[in-house]
Amino acid sequence: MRFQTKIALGAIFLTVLAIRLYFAFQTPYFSSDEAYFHIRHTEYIAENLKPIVNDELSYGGRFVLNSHVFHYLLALFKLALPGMLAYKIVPEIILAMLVLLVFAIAKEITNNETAALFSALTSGLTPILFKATINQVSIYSLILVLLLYMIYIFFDLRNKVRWFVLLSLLLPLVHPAGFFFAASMIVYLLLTGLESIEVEQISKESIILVLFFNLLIAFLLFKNAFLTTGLGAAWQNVPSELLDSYFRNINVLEAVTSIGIIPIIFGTTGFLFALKAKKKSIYALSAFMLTDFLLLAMKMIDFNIGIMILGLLLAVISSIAFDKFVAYLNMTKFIRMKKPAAAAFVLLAIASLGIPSLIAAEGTISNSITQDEYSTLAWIRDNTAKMAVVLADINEGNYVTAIAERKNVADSYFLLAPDRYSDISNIFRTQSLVKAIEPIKKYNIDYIYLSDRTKKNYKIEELVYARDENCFKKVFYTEKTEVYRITC
Amino acid sequence: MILSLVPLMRADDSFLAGREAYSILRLAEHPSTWDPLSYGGRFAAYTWGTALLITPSPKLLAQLLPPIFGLLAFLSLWGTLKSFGLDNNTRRVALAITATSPPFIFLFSTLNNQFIAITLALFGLYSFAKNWKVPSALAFIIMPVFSLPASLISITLLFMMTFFSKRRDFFWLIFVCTAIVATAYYLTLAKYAGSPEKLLFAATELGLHSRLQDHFSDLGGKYGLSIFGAMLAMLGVIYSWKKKYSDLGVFFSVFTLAVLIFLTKHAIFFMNFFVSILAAYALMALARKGWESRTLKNFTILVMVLGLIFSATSFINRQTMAEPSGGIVQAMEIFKDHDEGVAFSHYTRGYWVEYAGKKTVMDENFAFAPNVNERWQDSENLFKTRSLDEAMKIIDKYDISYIWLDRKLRDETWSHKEEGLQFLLEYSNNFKKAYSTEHVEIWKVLR
Repeated sequence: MRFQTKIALGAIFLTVLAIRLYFAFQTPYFSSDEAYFHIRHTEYIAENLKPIVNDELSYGGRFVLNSHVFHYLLALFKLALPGMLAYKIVPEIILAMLVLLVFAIAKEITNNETAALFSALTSGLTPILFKATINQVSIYSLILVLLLYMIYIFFDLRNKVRWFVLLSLLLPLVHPAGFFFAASMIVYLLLTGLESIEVEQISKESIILVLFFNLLIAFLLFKNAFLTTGLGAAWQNVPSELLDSYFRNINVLEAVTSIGIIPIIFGTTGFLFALKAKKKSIYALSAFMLTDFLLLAMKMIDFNIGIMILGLLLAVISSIAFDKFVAYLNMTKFIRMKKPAAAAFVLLAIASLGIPSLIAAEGTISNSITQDEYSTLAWIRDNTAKMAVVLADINEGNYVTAIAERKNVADSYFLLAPDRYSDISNIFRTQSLVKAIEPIKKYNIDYIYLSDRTKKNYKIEELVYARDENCFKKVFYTEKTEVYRITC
Repeated sequence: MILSLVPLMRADDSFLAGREAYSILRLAEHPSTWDPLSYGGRFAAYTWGTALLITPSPKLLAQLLPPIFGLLAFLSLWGTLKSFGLDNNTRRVALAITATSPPFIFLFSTLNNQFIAITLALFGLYSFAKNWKVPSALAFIIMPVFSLPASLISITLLFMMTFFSKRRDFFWLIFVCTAIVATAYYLTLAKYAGSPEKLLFAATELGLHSRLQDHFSDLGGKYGLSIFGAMLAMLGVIYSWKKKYSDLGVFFSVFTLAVLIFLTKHAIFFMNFFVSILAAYALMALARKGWESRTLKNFTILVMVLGLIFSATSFINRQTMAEPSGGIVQAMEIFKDHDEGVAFSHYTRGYWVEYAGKKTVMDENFAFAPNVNERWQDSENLFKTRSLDEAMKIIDKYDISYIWLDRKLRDETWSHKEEGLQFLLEYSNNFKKAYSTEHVEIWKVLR
């Protein structure tokens, strides 16, 4: 690699990391309820060296089905970084590393360092990566890095077979998204088979291994989930009412704004160029894209992760279009314009991706838990009985367990959890005291935590039935939150 | 050894696993053409083979016969595979995969209506391959008495196997004899019990998702295939694809069974043998072929073997814990001492209630059952109602004296304590708890 390339790549990496860290440190808190799930489990591991298996707080007490690999990794960094620093810094570093991997893969398929740098830059500024992962202690950081690294290794299997075996084992251990790689490999075999392209023996061997590794680990780890919900485990037992928000239909406009127009145009053009050349590496990337599309269409992959993968793959493939574009300029009278034209494209990429990314990051950070919410949850922690059950919206359930340290009725970790969504929804939506009391008694709820977030979610102004002073007492409130104690 | 694991690992007080076992056991203890308990009393239009075979000593033979027949099936399969020309190593691996496969473990580790029929099918095939005409014909001819679906499937498979060979005449002889026996047996049943009613309710969940779940034990199927075995079998199909024209019989059998398993769950038992053979073929092919990377080879074969072992251990564990638990068996024994009468429960608990000597409103044996759709609708209404009048109307209609509720039934039927019939049981003076443990509650109807 040329020295200038190293400098440029380092600069892209540091810029992306700096932006991510800048936003992450805009708030002392985190930007998703899920972040607090990971923090709580990591804290427990850091303290006890073992994971929470029977969680006394989640759903009032339940078995937690999780491999905890991500939590152990974070706990390792917790040893070196005090307080919340590990959660703020480590996921952002991992995510920034994506640019290095995108560069490596793009260089592998184009053998052009400038084109690879272009890919690295576009991947680092993909808006959805800011929207869905920044300041969220997101497990996707690890999944995406592992996934891209596996793709990179797949192109050079003969020299990195041991790494491939290790990662084939690790990826499904971290998250069921490992199946995505296995499924893509099968699609790759189908695509190359249709085009009568001979696939190397070692690739076929590795595909068989990945497939069986994924099956074995999925069934070892999630045996109970499969036995209970069958193939429904693929949808992580998300309540049917919420399925549409987790596994959404592909919305073209949303996909374009999430990925950015430059990777889409360059990626698609690069894809068309590459298909003509019948390169195996391109067929592999196409297989990943096709699988991603299929899984998104079948609602079998979380919308955000699906779009993130798509964005990264398009960023990789856009290097081909960039390479062709520069090569084309070399053949024309505009050869003297090569550098300004390339620079213009880079600037265009920065403008068209950077601005939406910054807006997305700003939006995510503004959606973080507020000081008001945090202090209310802290009040619950300090002023209620240890065994009290606190009802919060399902998307704030992890705040209750992690910050208030009290039992919740439900949270967003649905695997093997009982379906309580409709009951919770009824409590927040109904105006009838009788209708509210039935589920309140059913789950032995002691307190109701009502935030502006919940009001917005259920489109309510207040809990109308809570006016009944015989049954409800407002024990704490701030501008944006209220806490009711059940007294009847 | 594997087959004896399940009964040995089950808790001492939990006796036989499953529900069907208790029906066969009861029939074996009281063989008669009139069943006074099922559906409040009905003509015993059942497949009597298994029950009659264990009649001399029902409880002992109920535990001994399945593993013994498992061994016979194992030997028959060994012989059959030999006659198919499989090499020794592939045969050994195929047998090992079969022995550790969930459907095989299910068949031969607990009492059910299929294990003898499947053994007969394997023995029939083996004898057929060996050209032992009389044993082969006998095996197929008596099979309908043990299980009609198994008999139909095995005859279909025999047809597939012989269609491309020169032994079609002998097949037709077997086919005609079996058809005569089956028709005679089932026409007799129909003559006395009347024609079976078409079910207007779904006894099992419909839809592709639940079907797939049924077909794979790792997805929760009662006796489905191992998912690892099935994946390996698919590899086996790929590796043996070039040879398909030399084994057209096997090719069409697998294809037919792949269709049949969507129509009848019994086809899974037969499919399992083909899956095991194909999986063994794939494993051996992978072990023999030249790999570019030894690391990949070792890991791949290790993972495949671990997968097969995982499916087996996971299934054995489930069978060990399968209902009825010791608490339910105890409840059945104590319930025997209560006065006679009709006990109401979900139809899936019918065999247990009948084993306790009480009449049922309905059980799982829907074939030739009287007014089965009406009984199902009434049962559903009774479970759901909170109206005492409506409940008592149904209770009087069937002269119900007891209500049997176990913990799993309560959890599956109601989401909270004051829902449906549970509300009436709790707050009405018409019911009194006659027996109660953490596992089972039996309520007496007061009139």
